[in-house]
Amino acid sequence: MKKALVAAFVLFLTISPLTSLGLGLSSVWDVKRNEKFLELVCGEKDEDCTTVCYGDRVCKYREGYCFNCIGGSLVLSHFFEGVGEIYVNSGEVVSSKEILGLIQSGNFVTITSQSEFNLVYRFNSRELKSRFQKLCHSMSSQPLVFAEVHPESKHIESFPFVQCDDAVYRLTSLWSGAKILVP
Amino acid sequence: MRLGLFWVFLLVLLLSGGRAHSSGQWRALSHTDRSIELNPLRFANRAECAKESENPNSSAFVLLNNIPVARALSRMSQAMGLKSKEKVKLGIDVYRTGIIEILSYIHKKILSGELPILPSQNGENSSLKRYAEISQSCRSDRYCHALDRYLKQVWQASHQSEYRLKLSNIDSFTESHFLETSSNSSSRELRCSLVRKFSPLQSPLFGVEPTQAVLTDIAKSAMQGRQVLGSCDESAETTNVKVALFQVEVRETQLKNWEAVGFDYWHSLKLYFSWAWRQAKEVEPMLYPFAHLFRSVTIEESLLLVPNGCRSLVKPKCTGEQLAMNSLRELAKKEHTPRTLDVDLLNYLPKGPQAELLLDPFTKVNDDILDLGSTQQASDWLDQFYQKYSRARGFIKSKLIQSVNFFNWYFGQNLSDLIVPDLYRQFRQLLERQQGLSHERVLREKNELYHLCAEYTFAAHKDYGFLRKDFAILQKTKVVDGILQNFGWKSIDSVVGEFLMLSKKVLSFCQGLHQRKIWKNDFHLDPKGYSPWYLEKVYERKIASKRSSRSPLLLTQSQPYLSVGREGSTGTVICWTASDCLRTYLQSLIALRAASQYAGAFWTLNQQVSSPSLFNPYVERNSCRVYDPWFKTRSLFFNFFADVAQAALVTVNPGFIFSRARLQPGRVVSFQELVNEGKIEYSPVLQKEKVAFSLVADFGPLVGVPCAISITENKTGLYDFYRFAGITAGACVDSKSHSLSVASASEIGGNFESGGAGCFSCQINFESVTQVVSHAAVKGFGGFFLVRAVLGLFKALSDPFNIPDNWQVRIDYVVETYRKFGEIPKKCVSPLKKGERCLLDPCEEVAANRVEQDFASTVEWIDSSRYGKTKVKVYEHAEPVILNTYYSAPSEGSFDPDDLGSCTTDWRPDYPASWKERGAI
Repeated sequence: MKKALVAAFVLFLTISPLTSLGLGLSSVWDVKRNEKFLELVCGEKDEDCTTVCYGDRVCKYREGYCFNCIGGSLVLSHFFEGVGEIYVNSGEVVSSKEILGLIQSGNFVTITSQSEFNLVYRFNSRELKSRFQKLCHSMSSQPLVFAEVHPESKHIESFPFVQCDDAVYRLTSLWSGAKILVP
Repeated sequence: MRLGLFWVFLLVLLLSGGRAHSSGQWRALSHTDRSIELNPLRFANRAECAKESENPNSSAFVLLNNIPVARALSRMSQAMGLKSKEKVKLGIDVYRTGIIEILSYIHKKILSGELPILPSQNGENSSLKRYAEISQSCRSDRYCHALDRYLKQVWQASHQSEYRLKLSNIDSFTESHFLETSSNSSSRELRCSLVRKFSPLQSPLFGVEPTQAVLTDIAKSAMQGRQVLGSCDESAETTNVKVALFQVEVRETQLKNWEAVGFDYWHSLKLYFSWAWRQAKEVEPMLYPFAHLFRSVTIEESLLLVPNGCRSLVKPKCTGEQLAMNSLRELAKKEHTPRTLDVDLLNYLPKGPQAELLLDPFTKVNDDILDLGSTQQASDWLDQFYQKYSRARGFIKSKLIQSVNFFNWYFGQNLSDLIVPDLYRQFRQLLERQQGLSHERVLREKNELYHLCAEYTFAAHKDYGFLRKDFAILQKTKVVDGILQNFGWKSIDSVVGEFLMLSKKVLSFCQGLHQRKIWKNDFHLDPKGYSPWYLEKVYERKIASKRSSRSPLLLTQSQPYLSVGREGSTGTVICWTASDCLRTYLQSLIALRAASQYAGAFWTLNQQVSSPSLFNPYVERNSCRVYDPWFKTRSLFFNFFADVAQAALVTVNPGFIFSRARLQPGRVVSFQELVNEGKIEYSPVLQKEKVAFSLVADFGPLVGVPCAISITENKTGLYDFYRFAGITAGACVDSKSHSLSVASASEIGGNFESGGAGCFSCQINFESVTQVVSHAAVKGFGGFFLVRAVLGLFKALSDPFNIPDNWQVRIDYVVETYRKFGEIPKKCVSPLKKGERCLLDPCEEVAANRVEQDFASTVEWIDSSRYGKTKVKVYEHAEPVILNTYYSAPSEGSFDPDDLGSCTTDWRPDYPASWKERGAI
């Protein structure tokens, strides 16, 4: 306990996978200020990433706040109830430029099965964990979902990406992809 | 001998106890008890409470729900790997105190004139041009970014030097937008107390009139002080971790024009608060070290600002949003527990918040309607309330999510053109030949078809579909679109539009069926197959629906009609057949209708904290004209007039309609009721139905105000007919339609003058009604009717509920009386409930008033000798002040036992030097 308090940052996601893009992303908490940061580990020769990291290979971006995310947000309730079933991995790998663009804008928050915004299920519950794991091919990974927020009001506008062990994929909604079988 | 002298002394002391001139007999107050200051308590009966709802309250309760924040803190701690609950406890304390600190900070800035007040009503004549433009351009169903930007500019300017100048560059701010307050900085503080127990200090919520017993209880509670009202910075651990209840008050006396600016004040406070909570750097230290995390809290859903008493925090309007918000009152009642919550909003087909008004128009008020007295601690009551609130909210949320999911699937698959042909295909075999179908299968399909047609007919038939009108209203409301923005949601307009198109086709399909052939005598209808909403409405919940569990039985193919899932698996079934899909469409729309009726209570889109009037059910009864606080007063004068008039009338004018209703004691009768009960006399030349119809229709704005109406070809001669002073009436008829348009008494003038559009108006001048009596007497209208009139007037005026009546009690004066006498003397009840001081000694009262006027001090004791000197000791100073007082005995011949004489004091009292140093007001 004391150790945790002394440490400035605690790795929220212990695994900081280097994706096929060579970009490593993980969430870390500042225990003293109670703020969440996204830690970037740039791949070698990833100039876009090091530019975003102000010339360094490793840097941290403070996650923005998220309008009405601690409370009865319908969008978030719907997300936690539908993750892995309605919100699914599209299979499309997202370019590092696109990801870095969102990170640099600061208009994002990250969500996992251990999210502070999850007021629907117990913390890291088996059910929620398994729903998140459906987002990635590898069941062992801790998927990290990006929510894009409005630059001014900070409302969640979309859930564009999910980071799996091997890459960052585009997240999609199955609303438009239901199977139809005409009798 | 010595012992004898002692007894004589004691006897003298006891005998003088009633008057208590000796300083030692005043009961002392502890320092903490003295720190409890509250605004005067306003007591009101039913009619007064309805009337008072139109005025701004200066006292409010802050109802705070800590649960969402506690959950987020707990999850954050676990994500950090911390097992201890320390962070959660600390976070909740910061959250509670931070909210009050921010409210106080903004309040102080408003009262010191640094932050302007923004108008709560935006009309064409709004004094703030830009703010009015923004307010009008912002749609009620969308987040208003322009408002955020405006508030940011105003906030930032208010924190700079020469802020008035900078603010004037932002909008047309003038002096009128800055509240005038006294220069005393303590008077600009927002008073705040933690409500530990509901006590007589909130007695206007428990009773109508302050009796001697009530005043005594108020005094005792105030002297208990901190046992009932705690400090706002107390730790949650010592009270309740889940919820917190605070009482905050604006020192009304410091604001010269509170009645005029009160609603704007609350509106501004709430707007600035919501904005500052998320955006202002200045509030970060108040929420340290959780400021960043707390910005994500839906503060508007965890916090309610509820008026303490009859007055309101928001100008009452008869709108769906305000009705829904005030329906939260039901959740606050003890009769509903979180487990056995049985309220309208949980029904499939709720009647809506307006139905309650009509079902129970004359409900109780100021009678502990929310059962506050039934819980030991105030937080227990609030805890129960928020549990029920969460359950109700969760229920509506679930309805919304299920519906939006279905509609998104439906539209995502473009089923619009497919589903009706698929419906024909689904039942083709059943309708054409039935060969190869088992008996059980035929029965099942016939039932499904019957259920489909029954449900669609019941809901959407063009003549008697009982939901058709509701859907049309739903189509125009924006509340659902507002809540479901960012959901990939189409729009309520297109969802209802699609249904209207579908229902037309489905009903045409149903009407085209050869019903006698399909559902022959041997057909057995299984009502359990109906949808739950249908069973609730038609079978009054006597049968439980098994529709969802029976759905797989409908399947005629190996695959369901619409399902979602990964390739190769059945996944989640959305609907089993085309008919199942159509029925689910209707069910989902019904769920949206239900959610939209009460959504305003749970999802605020106004970018500010909500303020339901939990303690005054007459807010909406008054604003929606279900209850008219002046009705009884008006009608009793009207009845009085009617009797007098009946005595006077010798001939009946053709076309004269006259109310002969007699009001029952304690019951308010609306005009509509009078019509329904047939208590309107009508002229034989007019058809009764037509008259009743036009009265009901045309008197809409005047429900509750019966008037004598005369329909004539022109208005000439009406004044001759109604010759009594104080009562005038006029009417004119549109030459084309013969319809009456009615203007209320306050609107008389314009309508009356314009002869073109047909008009009617009536006015009763209550002040001059007494002249009627004298006029009648002079003219010799004696007899039975006149006697009955006067008697009726006298009786009606003593109606304890429906004649507005109010009392105001200053707690410090009640305490003062109690401290002096050890009780509330009977003689003091009358002055105390008028808000006056009562020491039963004119010189003491005048001296106390004088010291109070010159110094903000609490009287510790007073000693009046009646020989020219009155000694006043206040807590704030060690030495008493001696004032010259000049007593005048009651005038000779005065038989009033309550006349204690009068007293005056020096124009400029000689205060001790130490007092002057502390400064006079």
